[in-house]
Amino acid sequence: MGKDNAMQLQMDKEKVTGGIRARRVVANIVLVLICLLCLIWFYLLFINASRSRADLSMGSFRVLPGNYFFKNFYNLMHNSSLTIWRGMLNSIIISGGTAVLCTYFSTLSAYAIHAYDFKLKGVLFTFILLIMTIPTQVSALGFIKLMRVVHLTDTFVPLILPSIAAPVTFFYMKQYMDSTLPIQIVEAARIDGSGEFRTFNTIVLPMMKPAIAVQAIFTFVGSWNNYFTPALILKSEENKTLPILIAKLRSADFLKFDMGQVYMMILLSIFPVIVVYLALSKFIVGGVALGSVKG
Amino acid sequence: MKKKLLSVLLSTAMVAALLAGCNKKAEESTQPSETGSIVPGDAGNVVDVETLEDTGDTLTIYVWNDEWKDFFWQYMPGVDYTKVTDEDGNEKFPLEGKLGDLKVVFKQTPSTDGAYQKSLDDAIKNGDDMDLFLVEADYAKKYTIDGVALPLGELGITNEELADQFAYTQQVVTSDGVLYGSSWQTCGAGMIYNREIAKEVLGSDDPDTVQAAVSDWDKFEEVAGKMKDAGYLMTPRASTTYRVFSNNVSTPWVVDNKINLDESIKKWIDMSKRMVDAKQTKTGDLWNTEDAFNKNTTFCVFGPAWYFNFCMGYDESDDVESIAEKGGWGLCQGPQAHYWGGTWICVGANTDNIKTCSDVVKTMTLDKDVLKKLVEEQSQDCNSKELAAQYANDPNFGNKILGGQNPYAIFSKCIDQIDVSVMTENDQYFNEQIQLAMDEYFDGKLSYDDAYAQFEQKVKEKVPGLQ
Amino acid sequence: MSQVKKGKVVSFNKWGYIFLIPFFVTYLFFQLVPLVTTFYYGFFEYYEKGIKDYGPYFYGIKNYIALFSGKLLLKYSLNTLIMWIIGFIPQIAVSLLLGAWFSDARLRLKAAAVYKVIIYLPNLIMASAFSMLFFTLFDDNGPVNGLLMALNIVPEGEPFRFFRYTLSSRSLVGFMNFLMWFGNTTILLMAGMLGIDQSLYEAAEVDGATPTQVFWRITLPLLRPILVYVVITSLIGGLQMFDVPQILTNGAGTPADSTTTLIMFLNNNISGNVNYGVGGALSVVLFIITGVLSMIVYKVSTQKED
Repeated sequence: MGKDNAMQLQMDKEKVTGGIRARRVVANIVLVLICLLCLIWFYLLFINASRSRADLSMGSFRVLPGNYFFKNFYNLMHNSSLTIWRGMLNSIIISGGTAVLCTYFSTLSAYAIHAYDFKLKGVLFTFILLIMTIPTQVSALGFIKLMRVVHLTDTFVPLILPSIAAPVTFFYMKQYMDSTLPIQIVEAARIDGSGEFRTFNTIVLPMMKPAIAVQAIFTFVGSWNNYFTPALILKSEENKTLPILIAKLRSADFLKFDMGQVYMMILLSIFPVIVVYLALSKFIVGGVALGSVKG
Repeated sequence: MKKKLLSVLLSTAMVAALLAGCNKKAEESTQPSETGSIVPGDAGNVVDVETLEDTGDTLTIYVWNDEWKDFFWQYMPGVDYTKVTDEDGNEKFPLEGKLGDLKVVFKQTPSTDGAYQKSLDDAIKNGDDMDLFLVEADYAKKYTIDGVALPLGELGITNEELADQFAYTQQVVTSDGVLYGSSWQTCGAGMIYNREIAKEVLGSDDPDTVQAAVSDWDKFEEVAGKMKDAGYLMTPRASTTYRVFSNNVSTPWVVDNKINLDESIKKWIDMSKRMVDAKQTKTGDLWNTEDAFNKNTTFCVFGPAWYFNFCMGYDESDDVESIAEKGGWGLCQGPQAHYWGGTWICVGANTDNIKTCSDVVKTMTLDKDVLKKLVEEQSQDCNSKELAAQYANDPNFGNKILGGQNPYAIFSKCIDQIDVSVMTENDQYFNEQIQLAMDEYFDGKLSYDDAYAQFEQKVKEKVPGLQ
Repeated sequence: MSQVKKGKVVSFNKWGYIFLIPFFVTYLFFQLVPLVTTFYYGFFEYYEKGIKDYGPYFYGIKNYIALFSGKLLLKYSLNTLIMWIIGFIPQIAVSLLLGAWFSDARLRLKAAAVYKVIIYLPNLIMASAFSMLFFTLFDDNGPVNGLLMALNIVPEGEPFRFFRYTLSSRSLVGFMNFLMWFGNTTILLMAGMLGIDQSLYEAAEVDGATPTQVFWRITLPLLRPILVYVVITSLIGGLQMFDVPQILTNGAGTPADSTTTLIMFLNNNISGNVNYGVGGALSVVLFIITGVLSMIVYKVSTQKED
């Protein structure tokens, strides 16, 4: 009850300061409009994925969904020139593998810098910070050449393994450790006779869970959406990931004949991410600010 | 006109070769060809097929899709395979199996973005096992050379055996006068016109009448004017006619390492600009033209047999009745002959199974029984003049989409006139980029010079070293 | 005793090196070696030509001379910059406004959490799928034109051809970048604003400052370091613009090469037949530009800590 009174007081005060309610209304209207601007594309996508090929070919605009959603889904599943399930599986393997390796080894590397004192620590740390902003694109040429030399083109290895060295994730983990991982815990474990590697796996990793969760999601999504490198590395049909299949939709003209299937394919490519995001949005939005601002 | 004359001469030469072949057959069929002049269809020095021997244990075949792989399992005698089920639950022909005692492995790489060519390049560079490989016309010249593919003569295939093939299918895989590959199919194309509009504007939908009205490009443009006056587009896109012109060039894209624009392409540019300006056609993506297939908006498109089923909106299950479903299209040759598509089989120069390769090429591209099955069961247009003539007169081969018209007669007449002797290995880039750049010129977005400069720059980026 | 202890500490600390081995080995093999070889190729005339390779022949700095004397590098840099600006201006404006609202404790937006979730959503969407969606929606025969015709904004049968005009094509790319990134920027700026000492606002309120005055006189100046950070990191991201224009134009950069970005230029040289010389030189140029921008970020970030 006291809380309500306090709110009442607060509101009275606002009336006095004036305009705040008006500002709140304006802010809410603008925000709703902006949210609509963000969401309308997904609504249009859904509508069009539920329309028949013939209806879509008329080029008309519809506000309400049609009844071809499942037919389009069925057709897409049975379209022999688009290996959608396989693509999805490939995407999951690559993104999942990337997320696991990236978070584990980034945490390990961050822990090395955080928990130990060694001669080259400063140099190595600065080095990792320096390479953080080098885009992967500028070394892509040498990367494909090297992968050809070691016969790794058209495999998942060049898309998963490199994530062991992820400076951005490393940096996030380091920041997180600075604020949450007291070195005394590590020392206590040492006194208990725990080996260093064991300490990391059984004590440090569990404490880092929130940070690992956030970074796992970011890494997974980043890898799921990645188009540039996989397009250069993967060649055979059965290895292609979803973004490459989407690009194929765009370039192989004949595939565009059934627009219902095209929309369905786009929907299936982004739907999993939307579901995961909505389920975990609390961590993600918080994580963005946490990771980037401290730098 | 000159071109047509040349084609007629060429096909006459073919008939002569055929007759000569028949006579010789009785004498010695395994001797090298004795005709002095090089005509399309020369297998080179023919070795005795009995001397061929297999040494390897695996037959490796490079392909870019399922089409021919599926034919192989169905029609090649002596194969042994089990069907596989893919992720979507569909039964499919496998990538591996056996042919007699040989293990058969298909290496499949899709052709998008040149990935298939890349796989061939790598295999050739690394010396990987490559017994058979398929090529398309756009880049066939890159691989039909000595040291990459084997001349057909070295497989024991004689000119007589090849004489029934259409000349253009042989030109595509001929280098320095020698044949390096063979195809089971032809992809002759024609002008597919809207019958209702033909009746209204030209007074008749009879293929001969329509053909007479569009027998050359001047007349074609004249008709385009009439169509415009009647409220119709002549073609859905400016690029609709491109392939007809590019099939009829008389000079290659590259001469002395310099880019060369053929008169025929120039003619296409000029005509298309006039037609776009007069609103007789539109610019834009060639494929996005469903309007023309569902409503009476457009007089004609150009395409081969596969175009009917694939592209013209023949789908009885949906709620729109397309013109194709009403059988509302007609077919005639159009102003010039052209073709679209096609797959050729080549034998790798380093094959270790030359006997089997020879067998496969003979069976799958020359055996009349297999060709018949490919026509009747797989809707292919077969690469045999004899069979094509039979099907052209067979009333059972009328096409529903064409209102019962039999397309074989027109297609086989058409492919008999095609001359593709000036292809280069990079035609694909040139053809793509000139259309892209010129579309912006037709649109008025770029001046002709700017559009041409853009074309030059894009091509040089893809084909370094050009002047 | 102290001797023993020291020895023990050292033996612990060797684990610092051990734990860093995976990172540095991976980095060395997958990043550093490729980076060095990429730069190395920039000094050669070397390209793939069908089944044969041309080169490598030492070429000195001729690849660089060709890059800088040709028109393409400048043209594609301008394309990239213009499309980045088209997306960035609305992005920073909207983000500042939303950031101010979200961080304003007195405004007490009840649905703030929901808003944040929604505006961040487009950032996670696969750029290639999103571009394909926009391509189909804004196509001549797509639903957006259907709507424009239904509303009689454009005449029936004569769609507005979005991908045929330089301005509309670039604007679509910019707009998509805006949509995908403004949520991220909002959250960064909001966090920055929350870090500003609340007593300053209270003091301003006592002095009778209006919200607009507070924003321009207090928030913005104090936000300067993080603003610089946002601008430069966004510019680095903008330099890497690829998926959206690539898919939207099918790699052609239409119309009239006006949407080809620097990375599309690079991609043209390293996909299909690889041109090692030109691709290598271009990579070096991109590396240097990014390096300079990164140094600015680094400077700004360390300044802030002081």
